[in-house]
Amino acid sequence: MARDRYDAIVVGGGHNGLVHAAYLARAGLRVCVLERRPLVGGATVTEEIFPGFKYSVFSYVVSLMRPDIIRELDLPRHGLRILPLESTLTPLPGGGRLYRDSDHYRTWREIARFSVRDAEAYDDYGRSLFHMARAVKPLLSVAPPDPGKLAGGDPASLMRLGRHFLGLEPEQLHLLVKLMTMSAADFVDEWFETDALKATLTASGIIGTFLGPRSPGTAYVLLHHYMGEIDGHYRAWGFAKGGTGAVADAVAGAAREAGAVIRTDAPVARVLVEGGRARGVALENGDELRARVVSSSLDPHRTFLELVDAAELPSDLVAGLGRFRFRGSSAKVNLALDAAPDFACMPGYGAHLRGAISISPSIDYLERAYDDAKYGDFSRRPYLDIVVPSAIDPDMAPPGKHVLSCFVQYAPYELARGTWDERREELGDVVVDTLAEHVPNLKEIILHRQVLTPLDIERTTGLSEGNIFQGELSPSQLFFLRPVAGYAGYRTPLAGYYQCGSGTHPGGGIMGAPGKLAAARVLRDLRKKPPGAGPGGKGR
Amino acid sequence: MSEGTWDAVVVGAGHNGLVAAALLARAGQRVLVLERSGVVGGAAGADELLAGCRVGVGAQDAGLFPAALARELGLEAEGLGWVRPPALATSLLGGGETLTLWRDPARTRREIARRSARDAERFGDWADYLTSMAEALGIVLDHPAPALHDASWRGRLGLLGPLVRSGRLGRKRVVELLRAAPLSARDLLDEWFGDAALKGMLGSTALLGAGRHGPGAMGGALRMLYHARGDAAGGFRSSAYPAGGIGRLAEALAAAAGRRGARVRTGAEVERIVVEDGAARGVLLAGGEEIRARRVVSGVDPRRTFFELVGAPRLSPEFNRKVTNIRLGGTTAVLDLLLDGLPPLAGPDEGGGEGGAAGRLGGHTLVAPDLDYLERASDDAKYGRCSRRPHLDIVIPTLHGEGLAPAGRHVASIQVRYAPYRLRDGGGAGWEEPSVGDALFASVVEVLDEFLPGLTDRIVEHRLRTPLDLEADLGLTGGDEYHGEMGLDQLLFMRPLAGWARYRTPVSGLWLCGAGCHPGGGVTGGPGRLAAREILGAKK
Repeated sequence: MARDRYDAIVVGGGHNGLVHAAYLARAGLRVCVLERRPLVGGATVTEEIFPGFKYSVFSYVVSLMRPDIIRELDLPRHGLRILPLESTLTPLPGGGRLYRDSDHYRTWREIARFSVRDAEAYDDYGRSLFHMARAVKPLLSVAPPDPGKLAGGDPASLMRLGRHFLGLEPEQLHLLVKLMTMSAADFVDEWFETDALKATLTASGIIGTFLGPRSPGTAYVLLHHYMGEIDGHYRAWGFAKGGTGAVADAVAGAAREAGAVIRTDAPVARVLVEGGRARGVALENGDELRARVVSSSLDPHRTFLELVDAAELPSDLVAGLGRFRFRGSSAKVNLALDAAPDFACMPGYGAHLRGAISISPSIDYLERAYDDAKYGDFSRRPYLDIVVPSAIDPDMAPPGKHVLSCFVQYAPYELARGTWDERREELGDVVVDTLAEHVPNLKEIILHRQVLTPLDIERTTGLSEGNIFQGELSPSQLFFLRPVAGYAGYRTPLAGYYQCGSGTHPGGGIMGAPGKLAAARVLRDLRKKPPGAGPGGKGR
Repeated sequence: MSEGTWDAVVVGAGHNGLVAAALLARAGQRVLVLERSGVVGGAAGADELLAGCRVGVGAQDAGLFPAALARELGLEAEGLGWVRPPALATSLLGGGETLTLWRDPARTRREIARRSARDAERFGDWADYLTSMAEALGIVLDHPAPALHDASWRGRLGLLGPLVRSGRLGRKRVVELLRAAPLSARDLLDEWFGDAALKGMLGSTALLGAGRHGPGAMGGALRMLYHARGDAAGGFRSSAYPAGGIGRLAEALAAAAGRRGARVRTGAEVERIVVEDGAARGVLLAGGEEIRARRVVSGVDPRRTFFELVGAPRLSPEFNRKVTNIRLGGTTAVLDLLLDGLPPLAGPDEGGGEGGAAGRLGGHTLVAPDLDYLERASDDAKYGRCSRRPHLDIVIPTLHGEGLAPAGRHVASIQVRYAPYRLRDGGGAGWEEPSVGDALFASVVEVLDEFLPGLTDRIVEHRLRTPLDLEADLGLTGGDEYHGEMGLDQLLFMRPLAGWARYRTPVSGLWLCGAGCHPGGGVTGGPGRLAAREILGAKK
C-alpha cells in the first residue's frame, strides 16, 4: 500500500470539514483534510488584512456550535473562549434608540418607553422561543431519512423523533408549525407593537436569506438563529476570543491531536472515481491522494457538479441540484478605526460597544431594503448587524484603535446593473453612509475598509453565489430535502463519497452538526463505533 | 322539545352553508338556513348590481366546485349547467399583444410557440405536473384536517389516513409535493419556463387568497396547486362557469337543500348566537325573533362568528388572542362595468370566431404581463396603499349565457388587486373617503386603456366595490372573500385556528362551515361538506 494512502480524505477545511475530520480521527481513522487556502476555517477565519487589525472576515459571531461538539472535542482546551455579547442596540432615526441588555429590569424599562404592553410580552416571547428551540433541538442531532425507502438512515432515532414531536404540548406543536411557515414579521406582530423592537427581532429571520421580513418562511430562519446556546444559555450569542477563526483553530487542534493531517494550500481538483466508487482525490497540482472514503464539506454544487462528473450521478440528483437555491444576499464590510465609534444615541465608550448593534429601525425599513434587492440592486439603505470585536477582545486591534464588522443585507449575487467588481466600493459607501447617520465621527476615523460582496465571498471561500448557509434555509431545502430528497443522508450515489457541509441537514451557521452527523454515517458504513455519546448511542 | 326547535340552524346562505345544509338535511336533520341579504350564495351569489343585470357579487368562476359533490347533491336536476369556454385565459400584454391559454392543448402549444419554442415544448408536461400535484393535494384537502395534537387513539389513527393515501399516490409524488408546495410562484415557474408573459399569467393564480403577498412569496406554489384542483386545469387553473352566471350554482344548491327538507330564509339577519351554559341554543334575529336549535352552524368567517355573533366575553382571552391573530383582510376590490359592446381584440387566429375578440375574452382576461408587474403591485399593498398599476382579472359573464344583461350589452366583472382593506399611506384617508375609491378607479381606467384599448369607451355604467363595501354587503370581515389568508400557516390543521380545525368551536353546539375552515376559500364546497360530515359523525 502506498504511503500516502489515508482512510478518509476531507475536502475543505471549513468548520464542518474540521469537525468531521476530528470525529473520524478520534474513531481511529487516518484522516487528511485538504484546504485550498493558506489557513483553515473557510468562512470561519480571522485574518490580519490591515496591519495590526484582526478581522473576523466573514462569519463574526458564535452561538450555534453544538454544545456536545464543544464538549466531546474538548474545544476549550484547544483554545476556544467565547465572550458573551450581552446587549443589542438599535439606533433610531433622529437620535432615538432601543437598547436591550442582560439586565432584565433595565430592558423592561427601555421597552416600556415605547410600549408597556411590549415590555410585558417580552419575557413571554423569549420563553416561547426558548421552548421552541428546545423542541426543535432533537432534529439537529438526527440524520434525515430517505423518504423513498423506509430502510437506511437511522430508524431508531427517527422513531424517537416522531415520539418527541407527538409528545409535545399542543400549543408548542402549533407554535412550531407556525414558525416553520410564517413570515418573521407576522410572527413578531402577534406579540409586539413597537416597530423598532419588531424589526430588530425580525432581522434574525432574514439573515442569509433572499427574503424580506414579511415573506413567509423567514420565521424559521429566526428560530434557526435561536437554537444556539452558550454555556447552557439558549439564544445567547458570543464572540470567540481571537475572532471567529479561533473556533476553526480549536477544532483543527482537536483534529490534529487525534491524528488528522491538515494540509493547507492544497486545492482539490476532483474526486477520483473508479467503478462508481470514490478512490481518492486529485489535487490541482496533479498529485493524487488515495483513500477508502472521501468526504466533501463544500456546498452541494461543488460537491456534485464540480468535484465529480455529473455523468456519474443519477439524473434526479442532477435535476434536483439544478433547482437547489443559493442566492447569496449578504455582504460584509470590515473597518479598521482610529478611535471608538461614537454613537449619537449612546455617546461615548460604553458597554453597548460590547454588544450587537442593529440598524433595523422598522419593519418597513427592512422590507424596503429587500425591495431594492428583489429587482436586482443592493439596498440603498441596508440592514446592518454590527459588532465591534476590539471592544470585546482588545487583542483584535492596537491599543485605542478598533475594528468594526458590518454584516450587510441585502446585496444580491446577481445585479441587474453593472458587476460587483465595478460596484464594490459603491456598496462600501452606502454602508458607511448608512452607519455614519448614527455615528457622526465615523468617516474621520476610518483607517481601512474591506468590502466583501457576495462575489468576493464566493471567490474567497468557494461558497456558491456567496450564500453563507451553503444553500437557502427554506422549507423546500430542509431536513430530508437538503440538498435533494433521497440524497440527504450524507451518503452520495458514489460509494465511499460523502457530503458533510452546511448544504446538508441541519444547515448553516457555525454549528458543526452536519460534520458530526456525516462522520457518524461514515463510521457506521465502515462498521466503526462513533466516538463519544453519538446521537444514536445509548451507552454500552 | 318544543315544536320550534331545529336540529341545526345554518348562519349564512353562502355556498358552503348551503352545501352543509343540504347534506345535513339529507341525513334527516331538520335544518333552517338564515341569510341576511335577499339572495342566496354569499360571495358566490349574484345580484342586480347594475341596472337590469344580474352579476356575480364576488366569484364568477366555479371551476373548483367538485363534480362529485354536484352529482351527490343532484344539482343538474335542479337545472345547473356548465359553460367551458374554449379560452381558459387571455393575458393582455400591451401594444395589442395577447397570449391565450386554450382548453385545447394543441392550440395552447401553438400560441406559446410564437413566444418560446422551449416553453411550448414544456407546457404539456407542466399541465400534467399541475394536475398530478393538485391531485396529490387531495390526500389532505378532501379529508378532515389531520389533528396532530390529538393524543387519543382515534386522533393518532387519523394521522395514518394521509400516510396510507400518500402510499397509494407513490412516495416520489408526495415528496415532490412537499418540496414544491412551500415555494413561491416565481420559484416554481422559473423551474419550468423562460417566457415572462407566460410566467406572469400562470403566477397570477398564486395571488388568490394571498392577502398582500406577491408572486415572490413562499407558499404561492401551494395556492397555484390549490386552484388547479377539480376540473381539468389545462396548465392554468380549474375554470368553469355555471350557465347563466354564478348565481345559478347557489340557486341550485338552495333548491337541492330544499328538496331534502331544509328551509332557506332570506332577509333574516342573525344578530347573535344564543349561548346558554356555554352551549349554543339558537340564534337571535335582528328583528328580535329567537330561533331555538340544537346546533348552530356558522358559514360566516371565524372572526365575525366569534367576536360579533358569539361575543368575545364568552370566550377565553387566550382564544380571543388567537382569533385576533388570524390574518384576515381583503386586498381585492371589484369593478363591475356595463358595456355597450366588446372592444376589438385581435389574436393570431384573426378573423372573428373563437380566435377573435369574443373567443379570447371568454375566460379570464388578465392584466398580469409579467411577475415583476405583479410584484410591484403587491409592493404597494405591503406599505398599505392601493397598487398604482393594479393586477386585473376580468370575466365577462354575459359571454356565458343569455339574459344576464339587456340585449346588446355586456357586463365585465373585474377583480382589482391590490386594494388593501387597511390603508396606511395617503394621509390617513380610508375607504370611507370617496376620493380613495375614485383614485383606484382612475388607476384601473389607466391600466385598461393601456392593455385593452377601446374598453373604457364602451362603459355605460360602472360600480366599484371597495373592500369596505364587500365587508358591508357580504358580511366578510375586512372584505376578505377567502375568510382568512391562504398562507402556509393558516391551512390544514391551522385553519381557522390550531386545535380547532375540525369545525368545532369552544362553544359546544356551535360549528363552523365556511371558507375560513379547512380546506379553505374559493367555490369548493369543501368546508361545508366536511363540516356536515363531522357534525353527523359527532351525532352518532
